[in-house]
Amino acid sequence: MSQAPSETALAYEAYRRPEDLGAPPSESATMVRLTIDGKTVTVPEGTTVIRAAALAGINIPKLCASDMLEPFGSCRLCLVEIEGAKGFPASCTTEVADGMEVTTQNPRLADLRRNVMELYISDHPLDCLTCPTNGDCELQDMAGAVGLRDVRYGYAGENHLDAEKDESNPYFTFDPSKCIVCSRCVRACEEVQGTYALTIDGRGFESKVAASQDQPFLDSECVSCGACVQACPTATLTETSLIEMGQPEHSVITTCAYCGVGCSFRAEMKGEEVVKMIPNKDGHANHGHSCVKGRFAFGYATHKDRITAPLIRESIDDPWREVSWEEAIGFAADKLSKIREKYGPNSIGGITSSRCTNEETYLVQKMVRSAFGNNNVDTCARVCHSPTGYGLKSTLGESAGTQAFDSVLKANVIMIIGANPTVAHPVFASQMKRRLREGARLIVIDPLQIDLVRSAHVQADCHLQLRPGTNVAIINALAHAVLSEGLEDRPYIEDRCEPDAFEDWRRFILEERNSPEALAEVTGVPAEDVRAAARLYAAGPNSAIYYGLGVSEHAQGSTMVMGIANLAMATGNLGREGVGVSPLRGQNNVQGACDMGSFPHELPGYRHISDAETRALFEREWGVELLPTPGFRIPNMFDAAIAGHFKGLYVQGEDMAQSDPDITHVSDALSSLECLIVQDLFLNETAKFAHVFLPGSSFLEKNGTFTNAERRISPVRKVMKPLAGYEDWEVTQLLANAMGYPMSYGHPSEIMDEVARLTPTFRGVSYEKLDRLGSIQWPCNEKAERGTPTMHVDTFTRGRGLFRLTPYVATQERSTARYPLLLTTGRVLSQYNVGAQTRRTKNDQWHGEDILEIHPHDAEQRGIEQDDWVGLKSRAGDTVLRADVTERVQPGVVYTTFHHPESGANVVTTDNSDWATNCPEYKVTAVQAYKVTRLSDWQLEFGDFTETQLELLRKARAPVSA
Amino acid sequence: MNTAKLVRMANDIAANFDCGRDRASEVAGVVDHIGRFWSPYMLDAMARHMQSGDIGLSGLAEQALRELIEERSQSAETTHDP
Ligand code: SF4
Ligand code: SF4
Ligand code: SF4
Ligand code: FES
Repeated sequence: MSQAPSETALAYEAYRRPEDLGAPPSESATMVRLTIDGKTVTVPEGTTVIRAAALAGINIPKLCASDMLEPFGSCRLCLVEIEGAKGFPASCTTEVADGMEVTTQNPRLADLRRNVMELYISDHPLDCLTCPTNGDCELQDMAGAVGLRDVRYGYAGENHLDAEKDESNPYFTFDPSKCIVCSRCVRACEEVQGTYALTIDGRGFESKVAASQDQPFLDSECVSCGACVQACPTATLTETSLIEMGQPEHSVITTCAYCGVGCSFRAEMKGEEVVKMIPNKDGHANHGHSCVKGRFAFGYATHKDRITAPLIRESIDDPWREVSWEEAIGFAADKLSKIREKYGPNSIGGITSSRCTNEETYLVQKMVRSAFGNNNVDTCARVCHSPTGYGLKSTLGESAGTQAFDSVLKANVIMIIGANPTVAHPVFASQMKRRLREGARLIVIDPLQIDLVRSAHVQADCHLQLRPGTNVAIINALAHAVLSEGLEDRPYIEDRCEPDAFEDWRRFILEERNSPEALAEVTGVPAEDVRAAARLYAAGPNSAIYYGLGVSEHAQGSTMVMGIANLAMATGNLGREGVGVSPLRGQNNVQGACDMGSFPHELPGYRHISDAETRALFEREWGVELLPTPGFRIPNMFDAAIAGHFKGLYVQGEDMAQSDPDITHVSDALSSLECLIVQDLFLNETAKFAHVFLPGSSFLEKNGTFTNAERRISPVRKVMKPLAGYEDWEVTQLLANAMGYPMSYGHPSEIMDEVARLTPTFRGVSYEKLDRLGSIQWPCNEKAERGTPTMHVDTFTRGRGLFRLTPYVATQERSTARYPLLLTTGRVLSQYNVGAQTRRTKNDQWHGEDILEIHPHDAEQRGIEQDDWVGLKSRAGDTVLRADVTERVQPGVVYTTFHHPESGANVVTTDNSDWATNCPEYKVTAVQAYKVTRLSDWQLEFGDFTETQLELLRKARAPVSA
Repeated sequence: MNTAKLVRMANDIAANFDCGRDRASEVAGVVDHIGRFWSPYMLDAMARHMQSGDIGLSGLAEQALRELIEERSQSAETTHDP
């Protein structure tokens, strides 16, 4: 389904239904010539006639065909005549042949088509004028196209006009009275989404669309991706927002601000209001598909909780005061400057956000390094994927995934480690499922029974259900199996990798302590299973590894990333399509935040701050002197704050008071700051400790770019004015100026131009090129004008690949008599990270609270039953959650999510962290669970604190009495 | 600064370089790593801590830190300690 990037990706245009060529493209290189209505057409072999005609500008009427779906051929509207062929073949299922002569219009065909339409319309309500899709309905268009004037059967016969609507889903409505049973929805759910929630029930006149066991949509297996709604040619499946608002009048191409897939969307607008978000068929990451978050959950942008005026206060016990931008910025700059004078230049810092644009992130780190005068800048990527940067840089030479998403379509073996793509990266998961249905083999390495282990038409060949915290043991065991059975790719290693390091690694891995047999005890995975997985992976021929936070968020996160790179190098699985090592990034711009120099030891483009040449480059451009030594990481900032040495912090779009581990420690640190400046959409948990609140802008309100997990830079475009008056980069610029460091950018494109001037991997990136190509995968420079889908093709970025030794070191978080269970954490589909956005949308209908999953065996031992309140205690703290007794988790393991602040999952997680990057170990905490009847003390205090802070906010908003 | 935490960090780093082989290159690995990622503030705190009696560092961590601190005092770089 991949489409070549179009050279004319128009960003802004009047609304029109996206073009549909009626059938997916053929990949064949052999060309075929035919004539259609006398016009000569040349297309790849395997193309269907309907697509060939559409490419030549001839539109054959159609209802059941779409270029997002495989040919089906049920409506019979697209029939044509073919010279020498009998009857009237359907053009949507007939492939072209050399010399074929096709006629698409003549009186015979016109009659047949009118008859078909007549039958459809006799069982269709004629309320076109008041129908929600009036003006954008394929059935209406076809009635017009075939010239239907009369319905001879009358409308009195048996019909479905009274069928009841299903309005259970908050985002779309199912009105079966309008259904023509074309089954496009059913096929979209199968082929595009891969969920298989819909069927056509019954036969003939009785047939109708049904969700799961004829359930309401909300109760069915439906995951609300909206693919069926997009596919429906009638008003049967319709966005509820469209029903409420009417047809959009223009559309703008932009990028989803939720996850690292980075789906491209057409924001379909009415003035400054979004009517609906439709995934862009030209989108190179998503090819016209999306998930429930990106397509539907944008309502937070205009939620009443948005704060739209700057706020200040002297102490966090004071009520907030609403002030002008000028006053707020002056107040903030003054405080920071005074702190710097009093406590020294190292006492302030800033935090960039993976939710903000590249340009905004770049500007924050620039402000810290120049206006603040130190390197105390870090980003929330610290707490998710910093080990990826470290591990991949040290082995392969670049801190990024090696592939494009489309590469999965060429993989023969897919290995997923510590990731749950159907939940966290749904659109990529759909693409992966498509490949699995085509026969690719699947290895899952995860303590949890993730959906992909067994779901509709997908079943893992191996599931290595290891104990949490034993990743490195497993990857060493896999490598041992490969080497001991001689399955490594010797020529590749000799050709591409450092020989001494390989020899060293080989000897290390082959030590008996790394064998699957020796490690079975540690990992809980039988040696045969490990060997079977190793053989499958090594056999390929194309084997691809995808991994997530289940790899990075561990005490040995960085070691594990290096172990993964070692395994891929040893088996020759790097440097072409279908293979590679791909981190599935959490937030939309984690990759970009890291690229833009958010880390305290690195300038943009992953260049170490101690490198004099790089520093000189930036010093010239910025006109300041830079410190050559690394600044504080987030946890170091907190420690220094508690020690009384770190006093002022500027936080853009982050919520450490909810997302970071060991929350009590974080709260203590935040409370000891003299000036905390938070820039965000909402008064988030961190902002409750703030002295200055600067209102941020949502992705709909600004221009910029995001970089997704495949290094793809995609444009974010402003579709409405910022509610508070400024885009986020403008606010940073105001603050820098007030601190005495002049900045005068007029548009984010100027910031990107500066990044391109200073960063070799971005040399060729510009807004003009992004408009032209739609998106660009870095590196983009002299050597790769249009970007780089696959990295390390002939050589590794660092030259020769470096095998690094990966000793398994058991984490300090292990089960003890006191804390016998292991807690691991994760996500759900409908909520996003700390949930500040999704909790302010109707997505809450799917996940209203965080639940503790516990195995029946462990539950029984503790007298815990379904839905009981359960206390959860670790050495860091305790909280209370409701129990879900389920076999999804293994005995000895409990699982929860942290989408809701009051559940306090991070009160329990500890300050244990990755040795190399201090990425916290969210994935393993030793805990005890027990039945309780009331909330924990922390939760009660949290409730009080929240209430107090909201009251202080209400005071700011209350009209001032004279 | 919470030195117990710094000690734990240093020990974790050392443990991940400790493969029971060539000691010199393991020490070099730890020196390089801490040098690249720790702020001078943290190194200073560690240097002060290491003048006390029971420092709680593993052999490899201690050897590496001593080398690193020695190296720094020789290059006499200005630190930006508050
Ligand atoms: S919304 Fe998605 S999952 Fe639900 S029925 Fe439609 S296609 Fe299937
Ligand atoms: S709901 Fe829409 S897409 Fe599905 S069968 Fe009916 S008309 Fe076709
Ligand atoms: S998959 Fe990710 S990027 Fe795509 S629509 Fe969903 S949340 Fe947005
Ligand atoms: S469009 Fe070809 S049969 Fe329906």
